[in-house]
Amino acid sequence: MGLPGKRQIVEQLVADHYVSLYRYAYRLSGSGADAEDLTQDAFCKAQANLMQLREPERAKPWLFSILRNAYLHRVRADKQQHCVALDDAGEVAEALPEPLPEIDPELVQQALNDLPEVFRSVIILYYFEDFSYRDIAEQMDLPLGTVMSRLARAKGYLRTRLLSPAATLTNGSSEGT
Amino acid sequence: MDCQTARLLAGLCPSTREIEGDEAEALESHLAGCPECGNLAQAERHFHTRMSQAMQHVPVPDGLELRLLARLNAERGDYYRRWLGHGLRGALATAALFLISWLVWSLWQKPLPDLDLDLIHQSMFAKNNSPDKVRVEQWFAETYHTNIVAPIQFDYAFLVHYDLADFEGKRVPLLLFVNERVTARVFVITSKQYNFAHLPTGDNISSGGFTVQVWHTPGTDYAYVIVFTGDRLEPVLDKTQAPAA
Repeated sequence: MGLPGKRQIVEQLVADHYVSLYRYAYRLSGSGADAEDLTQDAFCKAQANLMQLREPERAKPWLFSILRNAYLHRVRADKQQHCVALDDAGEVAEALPEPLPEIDPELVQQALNDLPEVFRSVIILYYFEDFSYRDIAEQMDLPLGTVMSRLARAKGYLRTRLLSPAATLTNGSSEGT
Repeated sequence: MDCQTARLLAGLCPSTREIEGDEAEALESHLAGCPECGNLAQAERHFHTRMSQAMQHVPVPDGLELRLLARLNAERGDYYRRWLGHGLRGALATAALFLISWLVWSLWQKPLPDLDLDLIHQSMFAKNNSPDKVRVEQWFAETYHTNIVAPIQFDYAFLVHYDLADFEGKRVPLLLFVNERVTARVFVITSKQYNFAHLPTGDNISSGGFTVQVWHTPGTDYAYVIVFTGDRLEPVLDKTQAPAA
């Protein structure tokens, strides 16, 4: 464990990023308690390894990467996560219902919970809007094409899950195992 | 740009921020000229906006920032306490190692003495000034706590050196008698060092310019091995004493 970073720098990191980091953690884990734990773990790791942050302007992707690693570390033992198959999700834009209904954040979370993590992380980062495809690819150590492919499939899945009347009426129950 | 490409790009990049330059222009131009694709892209952008809003709609618990800072402060305090603990233990271990090393070194590295010619002269004078049989025996007793019987047959006026010396792998007293015609080394051995039942007394081995012989008085537990140069040993013997056995 390295020397804890300078207090002011760490406090600035917290002030700048704790909200988005908590939201990312919540969307990843689906639980407020887990999200808070993950956020704390991520900042503690960041404080201990602050020397690794050579470019301060890259603090956000760095913190998100730390948090995702912490999350993966937690769920590694949990091999019984039920996930949907995304084989049928299309990549080309299709007609959307008019008018477009509001999307319930809780339903978003339920849909995310059923997504395999490799798709979940990509789609969360994508909709957080601060990350480009290239940022996501770097953060997840994936080729750009893989990121785009996973995004397209995850978006197709969410569209189907969130915008179909039946899914909405049944409060977004799981589509598969 | 054809409709399929436009719809693919519109689906992948509804905010168009991922598309740059000519490709972005071509897409916008197609969407402006193709109502069907334009509507589709518009719907995609609406969906993207709604999804972004929904995705980011996560209430942040009250006091989270303070709890985070408190935990970080606690972690930092723990770190410094651990660091201090490790540091103290390391310093103590280093000090102990240094002390042990210094003690070992000082035990092994006794300071070298200065060469004192006066002291050497006094010591040699006391040892070699007019030595006789009794003084030689006293010297071995005092210096090495070794009781010896020095040979009475020799003239101690010719004694030039006496001390312990290596003899066939053993440390034994040596007396060196020298005059201008003969040099005689007398090694004093005991029955604890050699089998006196088979002492080669009476035998002389003489070649190469020196002679070896053994003197032993029956019933005693000591003997003399004498190595001398020259034809005869008599020049260094005491004329007043009886001939050697």
